[in-house]
Amino acid sequence: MTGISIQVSEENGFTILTISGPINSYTFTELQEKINKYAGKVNLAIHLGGVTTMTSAGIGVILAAIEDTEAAGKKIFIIAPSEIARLAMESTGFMDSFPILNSIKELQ
Amino acid sequence: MKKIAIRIIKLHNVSKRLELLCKKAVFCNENERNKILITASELIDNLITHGEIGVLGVIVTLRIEKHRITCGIYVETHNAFAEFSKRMETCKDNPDAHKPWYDIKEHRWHGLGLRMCENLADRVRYRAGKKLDRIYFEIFR
Repeated sequence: MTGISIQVSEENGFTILTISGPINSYTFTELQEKINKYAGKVNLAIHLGGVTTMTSAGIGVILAAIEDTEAAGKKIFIIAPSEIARLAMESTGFMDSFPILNSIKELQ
Repeated sequence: MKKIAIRIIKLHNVSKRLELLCKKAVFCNENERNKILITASELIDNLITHGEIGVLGVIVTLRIEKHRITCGIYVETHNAFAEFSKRMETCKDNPDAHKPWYDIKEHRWHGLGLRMCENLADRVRYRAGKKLDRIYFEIFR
């Protein structure tokens, strides 16, 4: 897979974006467009279980979505990040900024 | 000592080619491979965003030794890289000089990738050259 796949679904009052593939400067625009469509407007969950690599381009989009959503009084969670997505988020030094849940079942 | 090299010609193939490089690095553990994949992806992302990868593409090498892994990234010389590498060399011992910050107007982060590379690799060096620009990062074992 050279691009990313983004599936949209609904569960427990959340819009869930399930992302698979690499998030880098080549693919982040697609991620940004999709996230901007929902951030700040609905309760949002971003499932990163299928992410194969993640650069700051993608992390910046997710951090901005967290700020927009929380500023709008909505909820946002990162769900089950893959090992590599978790390592990428940790490497920013802002791990506390990412509200992470282990599974979609924990959404409420 | 083991050596592996790949060349990346097409932008849409960056992640696939780097995944191949890491797959070949059978002597690295999963955490090391993940660090290599994220750091190399980040550095190449920046080369693409702030410069050009040129007709020769990007060459990525991995040298795996008992106590360290060294990744080299080679790309055709670009003026913007020369200025950047000079700036990075002058503040290499002062990470706070380029700490990440959020631009509210642009609605985007700056410096996040540099910080990621510094935290993932034990040493990162930027070297501008007459024909090739080079970035080396090391992971100590």
